[in-house]
Amino acid sequence: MAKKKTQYMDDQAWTDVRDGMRIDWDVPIEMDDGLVLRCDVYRPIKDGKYPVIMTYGPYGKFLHFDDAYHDQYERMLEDFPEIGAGTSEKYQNWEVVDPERWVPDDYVCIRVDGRGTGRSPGVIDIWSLREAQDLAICVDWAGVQSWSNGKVGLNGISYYAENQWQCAALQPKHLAAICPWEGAADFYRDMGHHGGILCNGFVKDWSEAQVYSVQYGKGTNGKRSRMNGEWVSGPETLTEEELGQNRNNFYDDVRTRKLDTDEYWQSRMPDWSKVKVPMLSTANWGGQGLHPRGNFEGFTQSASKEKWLEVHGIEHWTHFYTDYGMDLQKRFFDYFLKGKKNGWDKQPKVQLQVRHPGEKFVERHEDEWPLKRTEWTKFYLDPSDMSMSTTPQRKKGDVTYGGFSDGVTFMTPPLEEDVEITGPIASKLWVSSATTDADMFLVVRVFGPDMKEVTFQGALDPHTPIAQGWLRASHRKLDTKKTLPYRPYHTHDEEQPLEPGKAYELDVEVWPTCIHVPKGYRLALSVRGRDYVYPGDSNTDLGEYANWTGVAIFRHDDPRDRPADIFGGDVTLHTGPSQQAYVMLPVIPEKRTSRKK
Amino acid sequence: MDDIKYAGDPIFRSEVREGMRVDWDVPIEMDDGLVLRANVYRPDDDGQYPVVMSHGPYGKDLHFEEIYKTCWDLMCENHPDVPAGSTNIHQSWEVCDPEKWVPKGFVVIRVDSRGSGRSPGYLEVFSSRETQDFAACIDWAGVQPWSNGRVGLSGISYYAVNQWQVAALKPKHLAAICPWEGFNDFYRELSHNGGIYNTFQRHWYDMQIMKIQHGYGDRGWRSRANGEWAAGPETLSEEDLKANRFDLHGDYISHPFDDEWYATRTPDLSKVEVPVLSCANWGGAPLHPRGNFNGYMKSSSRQKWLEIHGLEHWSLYYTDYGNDLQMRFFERFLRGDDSAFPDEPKVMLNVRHPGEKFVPRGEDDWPIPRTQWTKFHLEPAGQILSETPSANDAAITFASEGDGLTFLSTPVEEDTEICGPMAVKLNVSSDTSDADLFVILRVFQPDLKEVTFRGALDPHTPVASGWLRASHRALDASRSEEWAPFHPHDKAEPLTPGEVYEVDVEIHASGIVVPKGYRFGISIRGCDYVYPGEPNSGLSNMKNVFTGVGPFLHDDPDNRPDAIYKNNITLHVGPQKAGYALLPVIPAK
Repeated sequence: MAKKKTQYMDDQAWTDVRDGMRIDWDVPIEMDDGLVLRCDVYRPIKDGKYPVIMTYGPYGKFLHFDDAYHDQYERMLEDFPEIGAGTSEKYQNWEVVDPERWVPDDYVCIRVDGRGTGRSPGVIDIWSLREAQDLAICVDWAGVQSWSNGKVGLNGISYYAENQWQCAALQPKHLAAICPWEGAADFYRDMGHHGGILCNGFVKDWSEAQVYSVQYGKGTNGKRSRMNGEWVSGPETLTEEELGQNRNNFYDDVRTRKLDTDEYWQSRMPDWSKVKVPMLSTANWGGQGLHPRGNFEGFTQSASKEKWLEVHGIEHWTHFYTDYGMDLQKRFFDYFLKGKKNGWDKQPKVQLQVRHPGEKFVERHEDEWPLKRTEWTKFYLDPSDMSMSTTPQRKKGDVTYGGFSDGVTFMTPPLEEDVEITGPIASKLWVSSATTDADMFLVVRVFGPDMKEVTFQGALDPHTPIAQGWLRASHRKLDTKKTLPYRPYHTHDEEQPLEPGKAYELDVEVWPTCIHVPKGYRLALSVRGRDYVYPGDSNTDLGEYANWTGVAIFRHDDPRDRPADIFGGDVTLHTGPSQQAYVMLPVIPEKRTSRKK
Repeated sequence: MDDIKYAGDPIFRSEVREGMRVDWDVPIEMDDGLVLRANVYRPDDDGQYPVVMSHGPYGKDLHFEEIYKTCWDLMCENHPDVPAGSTNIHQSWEVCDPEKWVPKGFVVIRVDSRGSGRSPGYLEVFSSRETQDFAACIDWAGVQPWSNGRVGLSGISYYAVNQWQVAALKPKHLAAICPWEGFNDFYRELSHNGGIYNTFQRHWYDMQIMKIQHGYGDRGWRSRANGEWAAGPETLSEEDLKANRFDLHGDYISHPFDDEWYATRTPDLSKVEVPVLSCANWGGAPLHPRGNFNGYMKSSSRQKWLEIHGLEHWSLYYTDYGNDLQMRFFERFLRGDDSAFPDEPKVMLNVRHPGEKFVPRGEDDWPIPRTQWTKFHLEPAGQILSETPSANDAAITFASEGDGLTFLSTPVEEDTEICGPMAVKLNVSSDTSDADLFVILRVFQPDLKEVTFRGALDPHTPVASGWLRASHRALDASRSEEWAPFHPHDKAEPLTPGEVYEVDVEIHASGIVVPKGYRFGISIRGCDYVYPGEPNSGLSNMKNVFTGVGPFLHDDPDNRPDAIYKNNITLHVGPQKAGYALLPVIPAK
């Protein structure tokens, strides 16, 4: 293979011209601490100044999508053959754009291997400020290259979305627009400690399976790239010991930082007041336990004046690649990176794929989030018959369940007419515990007339319930400034243990959702002592993606975080005239399309 | 001895193996001259022993695993006591393992019924000819040199169903029967549940009968034990095979009412007089358990017992539990050892609790005498079950192919046992001339996960089910109990669209302890129950994936034409329009 050198390349880098693109592999970018990261630059063959679409992250730029995530890739292509149209698929890579579908439209696509992963040496410190600074440097590097028009956009899923918030807050000069596609933003609340409860399932399983598996230095013990034949995590091969030294233990890091005030979390949290670039924030209704809260918060809290929110369904990665998703991204970036007058400025601020049972989605445009016309409706919980209704409680009542149990479920009668619920959800509970703490797992659920639960193909789990929220009772302290009536915001700055037997007022944030509930269906709130479990047995005959129990890998079951002597005790919910317990749902009346005077 | 007796028979063989004398393909001549073939497994000595016999179409020489591999694997995995202590070379579907019985001093006989396996002739399952054959085999076995003259019958399903039939013929040497999950009403249980045609047996015939029809020969399987063709020795043409069997689906579907076709098959239980141990499965509806319950209640036998268990259709029969229960029963009635089965309670329940938990308990009779028959009324406001009838008139309409209606109780305040036969009274109208009603008793956990059980076939079987075609609503009062409406099914009385009719639905008997905090409910549907979770892949011997009713689907387009049964059904409830479930609540002893 001929290695043509350009001035910005070194001995390791080389260029291929193929599949209609000029590909510069392993281009060096030097960081301010002297470390050299490696990136691949996919660009038009013809010289010119082009806008840049960049991603920075740990999944290995040389690792083909199909080699890393075969089942997901197969399924995506099967469900949406359009994703394989007009591309050789040779450069498909997990959760980043397919250059063959962007370069022909005069974009430069750059993939940077994050510090310590793939082809970039260094120490892995997941989502650290150091990584965000690296990304900012890469953005500004890309803005001044000979092939660059000076405008850099960030566009990717998940990891490649989450660090967009961080990078945007650092305000690199050449950053012109971001499209965080399903990206968490608040690493404490969105990912590490939901309501104060450690999400060990994700933190541990994901970091080991998806990041450490492509750590820089795996070398010949890792995979070869089907794109160019080189080692995905090389060129060097390091010993296990060296590999161990070159990474922070994400699981231990997250587990031991129990409060949001820890520098670990504070250094990672984007300062929304500094996020000012144009943004297209795209959320997944079924992303509970990781991403969508970040997309909603990013949209509502950021200082950007030009910002859009889009919300869709199905798997985490799929719509990013579909014609639907590509069209949104292209129109957005054409407008901000190329200055194309394509009408994007007329794009409604909020585009929702409104969910109906049976994986049905109906697109609707709105002007804001949450929707102004929301009828915030409190459904009060009645332990006497385990019902919930809009009538406040007149009598005192209580119900007790085991701290590690499936808890209790309050349900409405079948609805007399269709009801749409779209937006954030807040719940107030009065809780006493037999011990000094209690973990609350709240699930908003919908049941069909035959009592089959309405679940959706979520970002990961094929049986994802309508909405979920979490709160550790000792973390109940509210930040009164940041709390909104429909979105409690907890400080997570101190633990306030409970006095056993004494009832405490808890405000639980349930992450935003959307569901059109047909007439005859029932609404329910489950208050549990452990993670939600889908009530229909999964059948592995239906594939790997059915082999979860309702929360995918977003499990909260680490005995070190939830010791039985504290969290296994009985928990009691109290209701009554002075202890109104409720879940407040955002009921959406039909839009008035034309007002006649 | 037999070597000499059957000298010259072209296929008879005898050998000593696995500690037994095994006589293969023993000829038994019927009164019309046809020769059936039987395997006799017996102690290798000159003693005279009680006989345990089965007679049926599944192939005495077909190894269990050939067609029923998933069933075998599941059983062995969950019940290691089944394969233990046997070479398992003689295991066959739904009949006992001779290696477990012969050492205990029993002669085990398997007869291939007319037209199946090694026996030639015209195959007509469950026909009166077949029942006569069975009786002849019993009386043949009663007079053989190795026989003590007392023949008992043992087997599951087919091999249980025909026990009721043959017992009603009263063969001289029949001494006791143990029908393990065996129906006896060919209309209400097998082919037309509540008058609605069940497509199960059509597929069953394809998968489990035709592949072992005599003459299937070298298309099929060789015996693992003796190397011969299990459905041979001859191999017949497809035309000959077809000519040698009846048209099961065509015959049954052309008899939509409980007519003479069924009368020649359904035994008169009052003529069953031998000692009976009737073993029912809680999760077997609609096929078998109703027959086991009725067999117990309606047979004339003075010595009769009812046992009820859970899990798969075939498993417990083969376990130590099943073998011990049967052997003790047969020790008493075939060998005269009264001490073996001394003071068994008449009714032996394995009381069902959620989570496949079963607690043994004896009762004096069935239904349980202390039953508190309790009406749970349908309350349209909120769709709940109420202890009081609804005060207001209401009507709720649902589409027959949709999810129907579900009336839920509030969480029960203490553990509540529901155990026995049950009935549901409804007032309905249709926008066509008929309506098929599917009524299900369901139980839900506090988190609203439905409590289903590993039923006889479907791993997600609901607690209880009933069926009724509204045009078959006429009752035979003389044969009905309040808790067991009996429909003669002798005619159709079409509905006038929009007019309201009172109907009584028999829910096949069941049992469940509803724990404190759980809810129960009644679902009323216009189509088969669907488990509210993922379907199951089913079994190797069946065609369909299991969606909650196993193979028992009511989906024949000729029996349920869209023009009539793709309809809107309206449930009417009010002071003059009763709607309730009559449930057998069992107080603690």
